[in-house]
Amino acid sequence: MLIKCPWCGDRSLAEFSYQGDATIIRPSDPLSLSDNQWNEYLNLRNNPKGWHDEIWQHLNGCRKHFKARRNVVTHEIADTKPMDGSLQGGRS
Amino acid sequence: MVDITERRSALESHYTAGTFGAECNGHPGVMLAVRRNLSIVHVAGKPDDQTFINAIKSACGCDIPFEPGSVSVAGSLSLIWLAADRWMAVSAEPDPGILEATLRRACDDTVAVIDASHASTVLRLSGPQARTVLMKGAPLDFHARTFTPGRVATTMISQCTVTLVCIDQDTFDLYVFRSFAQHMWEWLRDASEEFGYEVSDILSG
Repeated sequence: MLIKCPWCGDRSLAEFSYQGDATIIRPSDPLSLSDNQWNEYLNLRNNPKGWHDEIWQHLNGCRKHFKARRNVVTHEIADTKPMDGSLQGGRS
Repeated sequence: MVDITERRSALESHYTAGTFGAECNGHPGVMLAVRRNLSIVHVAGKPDDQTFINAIKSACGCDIPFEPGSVSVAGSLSLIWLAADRWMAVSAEPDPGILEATLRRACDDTVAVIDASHASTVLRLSGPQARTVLMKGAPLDFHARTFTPGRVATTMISQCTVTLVCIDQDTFDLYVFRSFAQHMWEWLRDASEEFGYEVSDILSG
Protein backbone atom coordinates (compact mmCIF):
# COMPACT_ATOMS: atom_id res chain seq x y z
CA MET A 1 0.00 0.00 0.00
CA LEU A 2 1.28 3.46 -0.92
CA ILE A 3 0.60 6.66 1.02
CA LYS A 4 1.27 10.03 -0.54
CA CYS A 5 3.43 12.20 1.71
CA PRO A 6 2.63 15.84 0.85
CA TRP A 7 6.37 16.42 0.31
CA CYS A 8 7.98 13.09 -0.63
CA GLY A 9 5.18 11.71 -2.82
CA ASP A 10 4.02 8.08 -2.94
CA ARG A 11 5.88 5.97 -0.38
CA SER A 12 5.37 2.58 1.21
CA LEU A 13 3.04 2.24 4.19
CA ALA A 14 6.03 0.78 6.08
CA GLU A 15 7.58 4.27 6.33
CA PHE A 16 4.51 5.81 8.00
CA SER A 17 3.07 5.88 11.47
CA TYR A 18 -0.58 6.56 12.38
CA GLN A 19 -0.81 9.37 14.92
CA GLY A 20 -4.52 9.59 15.69
CA ASP A 21 -7.74 11.46 14.97
CA ALA A 22 -7.15 14.79 13.18
CA THR A 23 -10.50 16.27 14.18
CA ILE A 24 -9.78 16.63 17.92
CA ILE A 25 -9.34 20.24 19.04
CA ARG A 26 -7.68 21.00 22.35
CA PRO A 27 -10.05 22.94 24.65
CA SER A 28 -8.97 26.58 24.92
CA ASP A 29 -9.38 26.62 28.71
CA PRO A 30 -8.67 23.11 30.07
CA LEU A 31 -8.98 24.23 33.72
CA SER A 32 -12.65 25.11 33.26
CA LEU A 33 -13.57 21.57 32.15
CA SER A 34 -15.19 18.93 34.33
CA ASP A 35 -13.40 15.60 34.73
CA ASN A 36 -15.87 14.03 32.33
CA GLN A 37 -15.27 16.67 29.65
CA TRP A 38 -11.50 16.31 30.03
CA ASN A 39 -11.81 12.53 29.84
CA GLU A 40 -13.84 12.91 26.66
CA TYR A 41 -11.20 15.17 25.06
CA LEU A 42 -8.26 13.05 26.19
CA ASN A 43 -9.47 9.47 25.83
CA LEU A 44 -12.79 9.02 24.05
CA ARG A 45 -12.75 8.69 20.28
CA ASN A 46 -15.42 8.13 17.66
CA ASN A 47 -15.10 4.98 15.62
CA PRO A 48 -16.73 5.95 12.32
CA LYS A 49 -17.36 3.47 9.52
CA GLY A 50 -16.15 5.09 6.30
CA TRP A 51 -14.23 8.33 5.87
CA HIS A 52 -12.00 9.51 8.70
CA ASP A 53 -9.62 12.47 8.93
CA GLU A 54 -6.38 11.31 10.51
CA ILE A 55 -2.91 12.48 11.46
CA TRP A 56 -0.08 10.46 9.98
CA GLN A 57 3.66 10.87 10.26
CA HIS A 58 6.24 10.04 7.59
CA LEU A 59 8.27 8.53 10.40
CA ASN A 60 10.99 6.77 8.41
CA GLY A 61 11.18 9.50 5.79
CA CYS A 62 11.00 13.27 6.20
CA ARG A 63 9.46 12.80 9.68
CA LYS A 64 6.74 15.41 9.00
CA HIS A 65 3.23 15.04 10.34
CA PHE A 66 0.37 15.54 7.89
CA LYS A 67 -3.38 15.01 7.57
CA ALA A 68 -4.97 12.19 5.58
CA ARG A 69 -8.60 11.47 4.71
CA ARG A 70 -8.87 7.69 4.76
CA ASN A 71 -11.78 5.31 4.33
CA VAL A 72 -11.38 2.88 7.21
CA VAL A 73 -13.48 0.26 5.37
CA THR A 74 -11.69 0.24 2.01
CA HIS A 75 -8.36 1.85 3.09
CA GLU A 76 -8.73 4.25 0.17
CA ILE A 77 -6.97 7.55 0.89
CA ALA A 78 -8.82 10.45 -0.77
CA ASP A 79 -6.33 13.21 0.09
CA THR A 80 -3.27 14.10 2.14
CA LYS A 81 -2.31 17.65 3.14
CA PRO A 82 0.20 19.42 5.39
CA MET A 83 -1.17 19.99 8.92
CA ASP A 84 -2.40 23.50 8.04
CA GLY A 85 -4.08 22.41 4.78
CA SER A 86 -7.71 21.41 4.34
CA LEU A 87 -8.57 17.95 3.07
CA GLN A 88 -10.61 17.56 -0.13
CA GLY A 89 -12.60 14.67 -1.56
CA GLY A 90 -14.12 11.59 0.03
CA ARG A 91 -17.05 12.25 2.36
CA SER A 92 -16.28 13.41 5.85
CA MET B 1 46.67 18.32 26.03
CA VAL B 2 45.96 14.74 25.06
CA ASP B 3 43.53 14.55 22.18
CA ILE B 4 40.85 12.18 23.36
CA THR B 5 38.43 12.99 20.56
CA GLU B 6 40.08 11.02 17.77
CA ARG B 7 37.27 9.90 15.49
CA ARG B 8 36.86 6.19 14.97
CA SER B 9 34.45 4.58 12.54
CA ALA B 10 31.76 2.40 14.12
CA LEU B 11 32.87 -0.30 11.68
CA GLU B 12 36.59 -0.18 12.37
CA SER B 13 36.72 -3.57 14.06
CA HIS B 14 34.34 -5.19 11.52
CA TYR B 15 36.05 -3.95 8.41
CA THR B 16 38.19 -6.18 6.22
CA ALA B 17 39.17 -5.02 2.75
CA GLY B 18 39.16 -7.64 0.02
CA THR B 19 36.92 -9.47 -2.45
CA PHE B 20 34.15 -11.67 -1.11
CA GLY B 21 31.03 -13.58 -2.15
CA ALA B 22 30.30 -15.23 -5.48
CA GLU B 23 33.10 -15.79 -7.99
CA CYS B 24 33.25 -12.67 -10.16
CA ASN B 25 36.53 -13.00 -12.12
CA GLY B 26 37.83 -9.65 -10.95
CA HIS B 27 34.59 -7.83 -11.81
CA PRO B 28 32.69 -7.49 -8.53
CA GLY B 29 29.04 -6.54 -8.92
CA VAL B 30 29.18 -4.29 -5.86
CA MET B 31 31.85 -2.20 -4.17
CA LEU B 32 31.40 -1.31 -0.50
CA ALA B 33 33.29 1.31 1.46
CA VAL B 34 33.01 3.48 4.53
CA ARG B 35 33.43 7.23 4.14
CA ARG B 36 34.91 8.67 7.30
CA ASN B 37 36.08 12.02 8.63
CA LEU B 38 33.12 13.87 7.13
CA SER B 39 31.52 16.96 8.62
CA ILE B 40 27.75 16.56 8.83
CA VAL B 41 25.73 19.51 10.11
CA HIS B 42 21.94 19.59 10.31
CA VAL B 43 20.24 22.90 9.59
CA ALA B 44 16.61 23.75 10.32
CA GLY B 45 15.15 27.08 9.24
CA LYS B 46 12.05 28.71 7.82
CA PRO B 47 11.94 28.11 4.06
CA ASP B 48 10.21 31.47 3.45
CA ASP B 49 12.80 33.49 5.40
CA GLN B 50 14.92 35.42 2.87
CA THR B 51 17.60 36.17 5.50
CA PHE B 52 18.00 32.44 6.09
CA ILE B 53 18.14 31.70 2.34
CA ASN B 54 20.84 34.35 1.81
CA ALA B 55 22.84 33.24 4.87
CA ILE B 56 23.01 29.62 3.71
CA LYS B 57 23.92 30.69 0.20
CA SER B 58 26.82 32.81 1.47
CA ALA B 59 28.03 30.12 3.90
CA CYS B 60 27.73 27.12 1.55
CA GLY B 61 28.19 28.70 -1.86
CA CYS B 62 25.02 27.09 -3.21
CA ASP B 63 21.25 27.60 -3.06
CA ILE B 64 19.14 25.75 -0.51
CA PRO B 65 17.56 22.75 -2.29
CA PHE B 66 13.85 23.40 -1.74
CA GLU B 67 12.51 20.69 -4.02
CA PRO B 68 11.83 17.57 -1.91
CA GLY B 69 14.52 14.94 -2.44
CA SER B 70 17.05 17.22 -4.12
CA VAL B 71 20.69 18.04 -3.39
CA SER B 72 22.76 21.20 -4.05
CA VAL B 73 26.50 20.84 -4.51
CA ALA B 74 29.27 23.44 -4.21
CA GLY B 75 32.73 21.93 -4.54
CA SER B 76 33.19 19.31 -1.84
CA LEU B 77 30.12 20.48 0.07
CA SER B 78 26.65 19.02 -0.44
CA LEU B 79 23.46 20.49 0.91
CA ILE B 80 20.97 17.63 1.19
CA TRP B 81 17.17 17.98 1.55
CA LEU B 82 15.83 16.09 4.58
CA ALA B 83 12.40 17.67 5.10
CA ALA B 84 10.49 20.82 4.16
CA ASP B 85 12.44 22.83 6.75
CA ARG B 86 15.50 20.67 7.41
CA TRP B 87 18.71 20.15 5.47
CA MET B 88 22.01 18.37 6.01
CA ALA B 89 25.31 20.00 5.02
CA VAL B 90 28.04 17.45 4.34
CA SER B 91 31.66 18.24 3.57
CA ALA B 92 34.96 16.36 3.51
CA GLU B 93 36.36 18.67 6.18
CA PRO B 94 37.68 16.36 8.94
CA ASP B 95 37.19 18.88 11.76
CA PRO B 96 33.38 19.12 12.12
CA GLY B 97 33.63 22.24 14.26
CA ILE B 98 34.64 24.34 11.27
CA LEU B 99 31.53 23.72 9.14
CA GLU B 100 29.27 24.12 12.16
CA ALA B 101 30.94 27.41 13.13
CA THR B 102 30.70 28.72 9.56
CA LEU B 103 26.96 28.01 9.39
CA ARG B 104 26.30 29.29 12.88
CA ARG B 105 28.10 32.56 12.15
CA ALA B 106 26.08 33.06 8.98
CA CYS B 107 22.66 32.34 10.50
CA ASP B 108 20.64 34.18 13.14
CA ASP B 109 18.91 32.70 16.20
CA THR B 110 15.85 31.51 14.27
CA VAL B 111 17.97 28.84 12.54
CA ALA B 112 18.98 25.62 14.30
CA VAL B 113 22.51 24.48 13.41
CA ILE B 114 23.50 21.13 14.92
CA ASP B 115 26.75 19.25 14.39
CA ALA B 116 25.72 15.63 13.75
CA SER B 117 29.03 14.36 12.36
CA HIS B 118 29.30 11.66 15.00
CA ALA B 119 25.68 10.55 14.68
CA SER B 120 25.95 8.84 11.30
CA THR B 121 28.11 6.26 9.63
CA VAL B 122 28.35 6.91 5.91
CA LEU B 123 28.63 3.92 3.58
CA ARG B 124 29.35 4.13 -0.13
CA LEU B 125 27.82 1.47 -2.33
CA SER B 126 28.83 1.37 -6.00
CA GLY B 127 29.08 -0.98 -8.95
CA PRO B 128 26.75 -2.36 -11.64
CA GLN B 129 24.60 -4.26 -9.08
CA ALA B 130 24.51 -1.53 -6.39
CA ARG B 131 20.98 -0.46 -7.37
CA THR B 132 19.79 -4.08 -7.32
CA VAL B 133 21.15 -4.54 -3.80
CA LEU B 134 19.24 -1.46 -2.58
CA MET B 135 16.07 -2.69 -4.31
CA LYS B 136 16.25 -5.83 -2.21
CA GLY B 137 16.06 -3.81 0.99
CA ALA B 138 14.20 -0.54 0.60
CA PRO B 139 10.53 0.06 -0.35
CA LEU B 140 11.50 2.91 -2.67
CA ASP B 141 11.14 3.40 -6.43
CA PHE B 142 14.72 2.77 -7.58
CA HIS B 143 14.02 2.97 -11.32
CA ALA B 144 17.02 4.56 -13.03
CA ARG B 145 14.75 7.31 -14.39
CA THR B 146 13.23 8.08 -10.96
CA PHE B 147 16.08 7.86 -8.47
CA THR B 148 18.65 9.78 -10.49
CA PRO B 149 22.02 11.35 -9.61
CA GLY B 150 21.47 14.30 -7.26
CA ARG B 151 18.37 12.78 -5.63
CA VAL B 152 18.03 11.90 -1.95
CA ALA B 153 15.44 9.82 -0.09
CA THR B 154 15.13 8.79 3.52
CA THR B 155 13.61 5.33 3.76
CA MET B 156 14.08 1.99 5.52
CA ILE B 157 16.43 -0.90 4.91
CA SER B 158 16.11 -3.94 7.13
CA GLN B 159 14.13 -2.04 9.81
CA CYS B 160 16.66 0.85 9.94
CA THR B 161 16.14 4.41 8.79
CA VAL B 162 18.67 5.30 6.09
CA THR B 163 19.18 8.42 4.04
CA LEU B 164 20.15 7.42 0.51
CA VAL B 165 21.90 9.84 -1.83
CA CYS B 166 22.30 8.93 -5.50
CA ILE B 167 25.79 10.14 -6.53
CA ASP B 168 25.72 8.70 -10.04
CA GLN B 169 23.69 5.93 -11.70
CA ASP B 170 25.76 3.21 -10.00
CA THR B 171 26.95 4.98 -6.83
CA PHE B 172 25.02 5.64 -3.65
CA ASP B 173 25.83 7.03 -0.20
CA LEU B 174 23.95 5.58 2.78
CA TYR B 175 23.70 7.65 5.96
CA VAL B 176 22.98 5.24 8.80
CA PHE B 177 22.69 6.00 12.51
CA ARG B 178 26.00 5.02 14.06
CA SER B 179 24.54 2.43 16.41
CA PHE B 180 22.91 0.64 13.44
CA ALA B 181 26.07 0.72 11.31
CA GLN B 182 27.22 -2.80 12.05
CA HIS B 183 23.76 -4.24 11.36
CA MET B 184 23.53 -2.32 8.06
CA TRP B 185 27.05 -3.37 7.10
CA GLU B 186 26.23 -7.03 7.67
CA TRP B 187 22.97 -6.68 5.74
CA LEU B 188 24.78 -5.06 2.79
CA ARG B 189 27.46 -7.75 2.74
CA ASP B 190 24.81 -10.46 2.83
CA ALA B 191 22.75 -8.80 0.07
CA SER B 192 25.87 -8.33 -2.11
CA GLU B 193 27.05 -11.90 -1.65
CA GLU B 194 25.36 -13.26 -4.79
CA PHE B 195 27.04 -10.69 -7.09
CA GLY B 196 30.54 -10.93 -5.64
CA TYR B 197 31.62 -7.76 -3.83
CA GLU B 198 34.75 -5.84 -3.02
CA VAL B 199 35.33 -4.02 0.24
CA SER B 200 37.71 -1.16 -0.50
CA ASP B 201 39.92 0.61 1.99
CA ILE B 202 38.16 3.05 4.29
CA LEU B 203 37.68 6.31 2.38
CA SER B 204 38.86 9.44 4.10
CA GLY B 205 36.28 12.04 3.13
